[in-house]
Amino acid sequence: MKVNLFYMGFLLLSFALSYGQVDRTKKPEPQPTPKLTLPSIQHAALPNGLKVMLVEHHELPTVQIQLVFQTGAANDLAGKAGVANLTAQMVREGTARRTSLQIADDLEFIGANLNVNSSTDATFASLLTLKEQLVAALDVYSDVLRNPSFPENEWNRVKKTHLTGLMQQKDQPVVVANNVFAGLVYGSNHPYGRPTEGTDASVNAIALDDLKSFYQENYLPNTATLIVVGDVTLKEVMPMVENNFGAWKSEAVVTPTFSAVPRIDSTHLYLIDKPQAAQSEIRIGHVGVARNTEDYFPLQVMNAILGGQFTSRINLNLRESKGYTYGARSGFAMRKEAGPFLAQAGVKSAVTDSSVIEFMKELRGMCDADVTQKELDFAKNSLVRAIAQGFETPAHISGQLTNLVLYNLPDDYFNTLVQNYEKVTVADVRRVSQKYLHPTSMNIVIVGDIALIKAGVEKLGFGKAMVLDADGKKVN
Amino acid sequence: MYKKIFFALLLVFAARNVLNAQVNLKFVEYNLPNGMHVILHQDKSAPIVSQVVVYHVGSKNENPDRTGFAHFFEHLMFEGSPNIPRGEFFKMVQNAGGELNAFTSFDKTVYFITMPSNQLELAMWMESERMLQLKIDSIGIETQRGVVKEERRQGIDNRPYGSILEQTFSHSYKVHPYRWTPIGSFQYIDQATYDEFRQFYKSFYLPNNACLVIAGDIDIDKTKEMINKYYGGIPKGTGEIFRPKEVEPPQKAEVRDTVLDNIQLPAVIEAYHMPAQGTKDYYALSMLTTLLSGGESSRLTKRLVDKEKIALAVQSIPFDLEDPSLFLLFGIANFGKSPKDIEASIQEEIEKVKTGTIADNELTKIRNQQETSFIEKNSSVQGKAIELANYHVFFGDANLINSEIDKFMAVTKEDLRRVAQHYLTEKNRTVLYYIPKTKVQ
Repeated sequence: MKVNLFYMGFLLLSFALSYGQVDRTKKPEPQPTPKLTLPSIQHAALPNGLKVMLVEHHELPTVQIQLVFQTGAANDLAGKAGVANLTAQMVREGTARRTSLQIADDLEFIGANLNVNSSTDATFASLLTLKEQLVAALDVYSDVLRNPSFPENEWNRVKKTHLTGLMQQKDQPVVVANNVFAGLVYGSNHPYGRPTEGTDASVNAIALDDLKSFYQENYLPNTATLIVVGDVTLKEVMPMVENNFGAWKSEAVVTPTFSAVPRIDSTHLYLIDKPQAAQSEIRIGHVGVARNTEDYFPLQVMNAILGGQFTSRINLNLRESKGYTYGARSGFAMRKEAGPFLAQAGVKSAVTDSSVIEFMKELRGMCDADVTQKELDFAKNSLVRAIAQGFETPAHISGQLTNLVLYNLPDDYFNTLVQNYEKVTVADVRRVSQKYLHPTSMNIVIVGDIALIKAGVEKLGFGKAMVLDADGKKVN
Repeated sequence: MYKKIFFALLLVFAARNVLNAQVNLKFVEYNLPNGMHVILHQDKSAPIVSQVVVYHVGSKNENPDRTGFAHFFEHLMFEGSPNIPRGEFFKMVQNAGGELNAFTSFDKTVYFITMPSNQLELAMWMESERMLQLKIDSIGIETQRGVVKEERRQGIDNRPYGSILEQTFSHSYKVHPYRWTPIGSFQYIDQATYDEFRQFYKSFYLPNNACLVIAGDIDIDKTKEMINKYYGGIPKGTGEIFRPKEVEPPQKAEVRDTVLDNIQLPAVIEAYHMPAQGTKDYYALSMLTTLLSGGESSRLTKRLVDKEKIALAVQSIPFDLEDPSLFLLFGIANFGKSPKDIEASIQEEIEKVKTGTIADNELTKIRNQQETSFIEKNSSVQGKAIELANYHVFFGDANLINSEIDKFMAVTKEDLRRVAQHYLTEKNRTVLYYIPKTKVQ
């Protein structure tokens, strides 16, 4: 009996340990949804108006800092596009206490990374450092942000390098397509119509004094928020913030003005010649919508169905069904003001016209018919269930907080994400498609080999193509 | 006397400024009876989990008349299985709120799925399905043939300087399969057949040629059970797994060539043969690249970009490869400057390393830079999972995720000088000038 029990036990054990006993035909069901602990945001401020947001994250011995100023390239002077961008490059090229190389050397000596850049809407200064070097890193960081000296010799070098970079961009079909598209949609008087890097002409028109003025008017504590994520507490950080930024003076801020966007009433076709191009870079779109739109969530769901993901209609059609491209997508660049809606791909030259047909079919499809409940549920699931991934590392969290700051969203914004996505209906998707997609008045921009593609795309019913150069100027 | 004190102070200063942030990442590892190596790492900081499978096969396992094959095959791994219909693979992961992707290099093919942690079992089922019973058909093959060709056009043919890797490796290797790159050529992408894919799958996509890593919000015991369930029953391969045996003979004379490209600014590329990853000299050469081009205060950047203003950018890169590899130097000429100017200045800086001195704080600086980048690499669960697999497959020691930094820190000034003298020689290099096509016409 005992022996038998022993054997039975052995048999059971061996069964439990045997490998691969699984019904493979059944897709596994998920476990209960894990609890997502959203970052707890702590707030503080200095008397000069500098706001501080901090999230403790003690998994790694690092600190990620991001200072967000609420103005950027939209404040570039007329005819001088590139000022914000060049100012951001120049602040680290010398201060009252350090030369350009000393700044680089001091940072690299402690293994810290510092980056300053401007978008159209804002200016960002980021610092990543090991916690043990935080004091030394902040010393360089605040020196760069508060005491830049804009040395003449560095300016000559930076300007020349920048102009060379602009020249190089003309070899990059992706950059040419994006810039020409933005210029056509917004016009050069609108901040979103100008490349933040500027153009040959605008950069040549910029003098060092322009950068100094831009710095004085835009790098201000009263418009700024310092986002700190990492292995620190507010109690530890605030004395350092006070030390480094306390004496910084606040000033009145110039709010940029945005001119009206020219409207178009039919679809226009533009070609930029790139002889012997290996692919055609296609951009299709128009003015979209600002980030503060009340339709943010329906739009996110709609675009997830249309072209925001690998499994969206556009990519499944152009890549996975037709094999025309390595990837095709669409998206709304939501900014402080209405950024562009854009559908795009790099496609095989011979199928340039067919690709435009498929793009237009998918765009019309969103407006002409309801999406299925299955598609809607799929899109909502993918968005809702991916939320946790957006908060994984200090860099992710810092990015999330940057959005709160830029678009003036409440601290509990993240807590309401799930319910906001869940609310979206099939009817909402149809409504926002019809409201924000305009398939009959698109700007179609293609950078490619005109000899191969022109005849084909001119047969699509959008009339003759206008041929432009890499700067978006008409070619005769 | 005064001098001595000064020297002592300097030493203290240097020693105190060496960073000492430590990573101590815990993991468990074991083999399944079918030969698959498993590594588990728990990190509950976010409710997500990353599953990574590294197959020890890359472009160097290809036939010379089927270049690009391993990468093409990687695309087919998303086609499905008897239980996952074609087109569903991406959808299942995306519907679960996950992300997935894969990449193919010279030595390996890496698949990763990152999911909310309650969906781990789904990720395991999917990954084990395609390891056990991948299903491909001619529709999938023909579609992906088109996609892969567009990937090549987008990444290489339609991008300025896009062919650098291909040109450098094809000029530097005569015998070893590193002479072609993972993207391969159109000609062979066109010729790949269904039967060849089946054969490739049977030869390389085996549990005993794979390393599985699960990292993130997991319960170790439950995860082990799940792994037994899904991966345990996958049969071990019986044949020997093909590994290329070719040894690249030492280069006897400098190789020099010109490449015409759709670019505005000329560029120069120098490639020196160097030992495989994990060797002592590899660590010294890695540190040397930081000395030369790690940041704005590095020697080459400071000189060529800041002072002489002859280069728009300079970069040196040690290629981390399983077999003897390349140490790459790359500089784009500033407007109106020639590759010759750049080459001359690079050469002078190399000579300075060979014969000159390296200051204490310069060594400390590159150590600190190395240390920060080491910590940054391990910030996401997916990053950690890929690193763990890589250390196991190519170094036989997953714990290098904690200790490899010591090998970088052990590099001395003398090592830097020695490897520069030994490897950065004229006959050991290939020099390519990239010249704008328009200039030639």
